[in-house]
Amino acid sequence: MKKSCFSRRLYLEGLRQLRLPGIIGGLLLVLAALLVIIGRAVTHSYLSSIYLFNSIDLFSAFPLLPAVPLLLAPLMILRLFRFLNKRSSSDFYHGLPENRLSLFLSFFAAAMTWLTGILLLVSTITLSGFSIVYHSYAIQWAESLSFLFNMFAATVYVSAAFSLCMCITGTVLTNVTASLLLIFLPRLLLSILSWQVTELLPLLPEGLSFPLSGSEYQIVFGLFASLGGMQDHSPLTYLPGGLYTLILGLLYGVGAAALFLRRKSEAAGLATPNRALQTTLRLLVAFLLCQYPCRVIIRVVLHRETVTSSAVFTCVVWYIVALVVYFLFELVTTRRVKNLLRSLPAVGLLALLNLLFIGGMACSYHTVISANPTPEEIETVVFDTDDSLGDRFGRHFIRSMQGLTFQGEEVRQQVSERLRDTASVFRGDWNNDHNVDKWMALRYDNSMSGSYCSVKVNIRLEGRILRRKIALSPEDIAKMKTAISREEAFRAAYAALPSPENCTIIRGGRIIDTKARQVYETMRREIPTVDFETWYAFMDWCDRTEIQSALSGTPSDIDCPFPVLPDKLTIKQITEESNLSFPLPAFLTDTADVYMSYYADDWILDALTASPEESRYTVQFTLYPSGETSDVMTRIYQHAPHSLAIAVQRMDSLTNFLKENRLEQPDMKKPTLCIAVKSYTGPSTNRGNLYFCSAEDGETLNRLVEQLF
Amino acid sequence: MIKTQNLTKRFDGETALAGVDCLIPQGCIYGLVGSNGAGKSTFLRLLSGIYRPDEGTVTIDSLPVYDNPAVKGRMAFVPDDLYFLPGADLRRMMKLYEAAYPAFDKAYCSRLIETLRLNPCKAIHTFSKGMRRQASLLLALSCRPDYLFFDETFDGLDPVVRRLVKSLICQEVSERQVTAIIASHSLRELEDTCDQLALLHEGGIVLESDVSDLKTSLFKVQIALPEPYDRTVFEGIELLEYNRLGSVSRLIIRGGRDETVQRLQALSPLVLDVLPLTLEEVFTHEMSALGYCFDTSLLGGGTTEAAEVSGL
Repeated sequence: MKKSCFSRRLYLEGLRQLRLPGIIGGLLLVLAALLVIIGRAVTHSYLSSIYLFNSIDLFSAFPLLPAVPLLLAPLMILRLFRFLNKRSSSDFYHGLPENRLSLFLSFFAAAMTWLTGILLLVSTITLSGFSIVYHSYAIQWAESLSFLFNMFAATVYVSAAFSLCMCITGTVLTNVTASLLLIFLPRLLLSILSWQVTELLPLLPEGLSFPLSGSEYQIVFGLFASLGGMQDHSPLTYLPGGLYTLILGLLYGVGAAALFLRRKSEAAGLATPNRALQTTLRLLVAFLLCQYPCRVIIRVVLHRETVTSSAVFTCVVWYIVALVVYFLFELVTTRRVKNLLRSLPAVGLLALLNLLFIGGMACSYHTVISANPTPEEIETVVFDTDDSLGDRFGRHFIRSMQGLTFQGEEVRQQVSERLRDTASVFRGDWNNDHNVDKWMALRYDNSMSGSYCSVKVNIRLEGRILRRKIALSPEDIAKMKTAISREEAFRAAYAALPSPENCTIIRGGRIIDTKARQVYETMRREIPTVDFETWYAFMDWCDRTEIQSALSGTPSDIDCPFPVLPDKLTIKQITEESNLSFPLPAFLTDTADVYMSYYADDWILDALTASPEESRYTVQFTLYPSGETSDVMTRIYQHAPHSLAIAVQRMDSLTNFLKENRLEQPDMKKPTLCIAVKSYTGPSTNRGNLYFCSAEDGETLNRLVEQLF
Repeated sequence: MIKTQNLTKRFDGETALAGVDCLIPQGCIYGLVGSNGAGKSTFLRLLSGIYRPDEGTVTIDSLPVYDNPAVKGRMAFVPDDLYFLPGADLRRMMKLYEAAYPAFDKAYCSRLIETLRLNPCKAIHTFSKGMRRQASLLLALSCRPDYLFFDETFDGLDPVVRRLVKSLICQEVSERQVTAIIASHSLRELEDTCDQLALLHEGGIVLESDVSDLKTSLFKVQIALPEPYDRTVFEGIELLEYNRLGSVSRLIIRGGRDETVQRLQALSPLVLDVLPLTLEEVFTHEMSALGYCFDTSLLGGGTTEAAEVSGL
């Protein structure tokens, strides 16, 4: 008999042994899926006049699919490998003429076959059902397939975890206990420790201390978070999280196979044959419960809290609870009172763990807040920003900063000062409002409710990178922006709009598709030719108006320093979540030409002619650079039906005059008259153009006045 | 051929088997007898590849057993604590054995089922103890192994079935040169069936011999002498037990029978009877010599004066 890693016969035997739970589980889920489809049909017909359902993904269609990894997978593994829990069955299987690896892999493969089959069957029925019954539904295939993959990954993970724990424990109770601890305890501990660090030192960015610590990386954890009431199920469709879970599951599977090879048949029926494992589990569970008193003690040690009798009492109670759980764990799992005495020495280990943790946190605290490099020590700075800072810095500014490495002295100076100032919060007075505001900004990131915001920075020093958050007031933001805007790399990025190939939506108000793209492409080419200060001033105004609108909830009243064309350009980059929207500045004359070519002067005349009863046209004059309201004159010409011919003639003459006298490149630093001519034809339609005229050109102005008045 | 060298197995710090050396030839029916907790089941499990030895080796035809599917495919083990798939009937178990043992003979199994008159469609957990043991036996025999290991196999079987099983084992041995090892407390069963016998005590083999040799090395003598005497008169004879009632003494002697009879006749006994010992008596006396005996005086009955154990 040759040695192989897989036995077809044992695999088929495994399939046979799982027939009953597989069929029952599969049938129940299929039935549930069908009931969901039918139920939705009933509610859809009732609610169709109220709601519009037009897209759906697999999770929304059948939220019970997680039952496969959460319920079916453990049940199947417990059933298939239960022979490890009893001497008679353990002896039987260990006596079979198969090598152990083959036995394990064949049985594991049988379980995975059933589970994967059920996943695929139920998903197919669900998606097919929705496609057939609801023609108006659009299936979100990307999200659905991601969710299905993640469920598969979770199934592998849970199955492997249970297999691993069954190889090192000997009763059903310890199988389940150890498995649940293996699945949840590491992530739970990681989350709590990460929270402790974040709570104590919010100037450390999340995830710094523990990479991959987000709950979206462990799908099973994310599943419970989702089932626990989170409305957002995006962690369940987060593909990197699924990959991570799958890799972890495969590692557990390899571990399970290795442990199965070492498994002794005589371990069957013993709660935990391995004393070291038992001690480890006990210590971890108790250490978890010690986190709260550790937190209190750390804060007292670091003078963040005072010693009160209430705090002391709370700590004592928590430690007592931890000890009770510690001994109870031993008693429940081994059911031998004698073992309580044997487990007593390890309490010392628990105490040591606590001391090490408290000491480690305290040392880390002082190390972190003492790290205040001078500008000279800083080599480069990279800002780790996202769109949420757009409300503080301006969206275009933030996007231009992303990924850039800053080496300028000003930036380094600003970052060094701000870091020192931020770190001083943790050495300062906690009753100081500023310190509290800064701490809130660091802890809760960029809430719009406080005056401070926090920015993540990666500071490269000699031989290492310091990752921190710095708190910035509005004044600090202004200084930082000034410093950043002086860097060449930033200027180049600021003047470079995203490539049209990377944008999914481009529209310019009423012009869309290819016309809007042409305007945009012209704009992209033209911006680098314009003086940076002008472009910066314009975009800064755009950002400020957006910020003000976001803060106040009403349109901004900040006057634009430049004339703008009637419509805004809106783009959405594929890699970004939010749109970028800005007016079209008139100083980009090529762009303005392209834009206005789609609003030909004839349009105004055509509009007037088309709806003579409702038509009127306006002429608005604005003087730049001051642009004060008092300098604006608006004349509205409204004609009666019988005077249409006169109105058309007058308009025609005016527009011809303006076209002939339009400046090629308005010098916005000199007085410039901007004439906006618009026609209104009906309540929702208006078309217009802009024309420029130097306000120092008296002759042209006179002739204009003659035309108009 | 089964060979063990320095075979040792420990559980939780306690030694179940300590340095066992033995050689079991092919085509032999080997009986394994020993006190409770002597290590019989452990020994069989080591031979079956269920346990991994802590020290020493166990080989079959010079090949290691543990995690060796080629060797394990040639053996079948019937344990004392039987295992069947939950809710399974004999047909289901046949499928399992067929999947696990490549040489499993389905037709032979069906014949055995018919012979033993077991219902193949009935759940095995509804069988009686004896019927379950029969089921386990027939499944093991149907694997057509070269090596058969039985642990307390005859326990629960009625005399008729017991006889049938013995004949099946003997048939396998004679026709296919199968090697069988039977562990049992019932020396009467082993006496009839086994060629060789080993006595296991506290993790070691203390006695290993052909069954016939074992019976002749120890014997019982009933003797009466004309004059008053005590045990000193039997000096020079290896006495395992000396029990005197009046002038008649009952002796258990180890040694050459003829030589001993000659020496006793030299004492001009009034009565001299030489009786063979049953294996059970041999076992009891050998174990007693090793210190494995119980003081029945606590139970309030008469006492038997036992000879001092020389040198043990």
